[in-house]
Amino acid sequence: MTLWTDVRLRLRVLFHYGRTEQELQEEMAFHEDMAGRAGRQRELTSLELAREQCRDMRGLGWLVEAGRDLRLAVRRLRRSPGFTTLALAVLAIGIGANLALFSLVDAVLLRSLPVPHPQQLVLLGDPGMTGMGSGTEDGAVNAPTYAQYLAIQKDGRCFSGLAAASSFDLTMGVHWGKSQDAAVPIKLVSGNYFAVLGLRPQLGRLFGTAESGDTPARDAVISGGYWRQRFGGRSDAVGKVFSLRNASYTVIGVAPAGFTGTTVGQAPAIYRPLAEINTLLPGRDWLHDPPGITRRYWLLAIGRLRPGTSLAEARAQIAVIFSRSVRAAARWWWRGCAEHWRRWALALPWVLPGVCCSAATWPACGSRFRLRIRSASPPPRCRCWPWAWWRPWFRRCAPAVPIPPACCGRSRPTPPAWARGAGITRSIIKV
Amino acid sequence: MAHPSADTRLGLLQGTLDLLILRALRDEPRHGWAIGERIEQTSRGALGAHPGSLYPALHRMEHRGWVRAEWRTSELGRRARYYRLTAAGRRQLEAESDSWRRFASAVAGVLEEA
Repeated sequence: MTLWTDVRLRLRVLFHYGRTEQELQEEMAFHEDMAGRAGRQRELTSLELAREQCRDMRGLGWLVEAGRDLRLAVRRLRRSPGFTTLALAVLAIGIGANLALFSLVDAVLLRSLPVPHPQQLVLLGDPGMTGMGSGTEDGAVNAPTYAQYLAIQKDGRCFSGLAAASSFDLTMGVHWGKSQDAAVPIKLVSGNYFAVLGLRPQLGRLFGTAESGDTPARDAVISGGYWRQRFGGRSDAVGKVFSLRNASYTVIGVAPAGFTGTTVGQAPAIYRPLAEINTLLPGRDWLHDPPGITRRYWLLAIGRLRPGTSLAEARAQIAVIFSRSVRAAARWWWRGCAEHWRRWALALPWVLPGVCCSAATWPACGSRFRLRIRSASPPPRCRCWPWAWWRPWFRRCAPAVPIPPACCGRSRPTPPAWARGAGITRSIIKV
Repeated sequence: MAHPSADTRLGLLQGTLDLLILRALRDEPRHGWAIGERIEQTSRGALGAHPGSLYPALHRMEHRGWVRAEWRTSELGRRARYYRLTAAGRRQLEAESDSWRRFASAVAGVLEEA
């Protein structure tokens, strides 16, 4: 009941502000009149204070004050169009940058691979690497070689399956009969790539044993996006033959929709077996490690951990297998990617809104404006927090203006002598 | 009627203003000025409610549902805001009077003991 009365009265202030304000004035005027008749003028000085405290007490506090601040900000902004344009531009750029950044963060941090149980997947190699590494003298490498991949596939009992993909896309011209696609990104993947990821084809079949080993069948899988773009999603795409570097290949299936490979930023259109690399990039042997320290580290291996196997166990096993040549590290797939972006991704969304807020509330805190208020009424409490940030700056810029102490405190400070005089009106405050 | 100067007035103890206001409103509705007058009269000038604290207290009590305000024409023919005690206000008056009596007698007991 009490609560209801309180809410009712506060809502009345909100919706009938003018009327309640007029009633307050009338009540005070009545008191003034009575005090005048009784010859007790000294009581009048505290009426202004009473008025203020009544307003504070019964109002919807922050809501009414916020409305007042908003109106003031609009007036100030209208008065300085240059500043308004600048502030709006800052806001627009800030919001735009945040949006762009969020889409990146979303891809890297929040969304996981569109495969079953993505939390079981680990990546062997540096997710940021594209191309070929040659290793360093202390044995540190950022990707495994083909031979190392085979070794870890054979001995790594911590994985229920280990697949590999080239860290780079080959961009090549592809001939479909008479028509040609000039630049198609081609990804080389191991025969068990789709099986380890747990993907099912949209159409046809995905790679199997025929595409594994050193002499794979001349088969290709195309991505869902390329399928729609090239064949308009028709089912006769399976069995189509394309030629690449004078060799012909057959499309055996279409990868599931939404799957764009395992590297952020790459979207391969055609998947080919890994061992094809010697045909596509002839001139060197990519599949066997030469003696000596210089090797071609060009793969990114993706393992699916056996249930119950911890990351530490997997690391230890791999370290044993690679102890001679590689300091291998198994990392969580997306966490590894995130390392590169975390610093930027986390800092910017915090900094920008702060700057924007400061810029947006600045007009309500102008120093000229404060000077005027001070000459008319008790110092207003500092309501907008950015002003508290700028306070030291004001102090430096306007040393002649005494800034009341504890202005930002919760309790209203006692009005100074110049504000106690009678006849103070709020109407002067309007800017 | 002669009004005592501020020097001879007693300062109000924290929390007693509500009690005084409720008591002043017990018998009939009054406006703010009359409440102040009533408190001064009944305390023979020893206690007084400053408008700076009287009106905020009245508004606060209105929000708590202890008093209800209504506009009436005063004895001088001018519109005034009259405050009337509600049932909740009456209960509050009883509770506060009771606790004040106990407090006062306890303090008196301590003083006599010494």
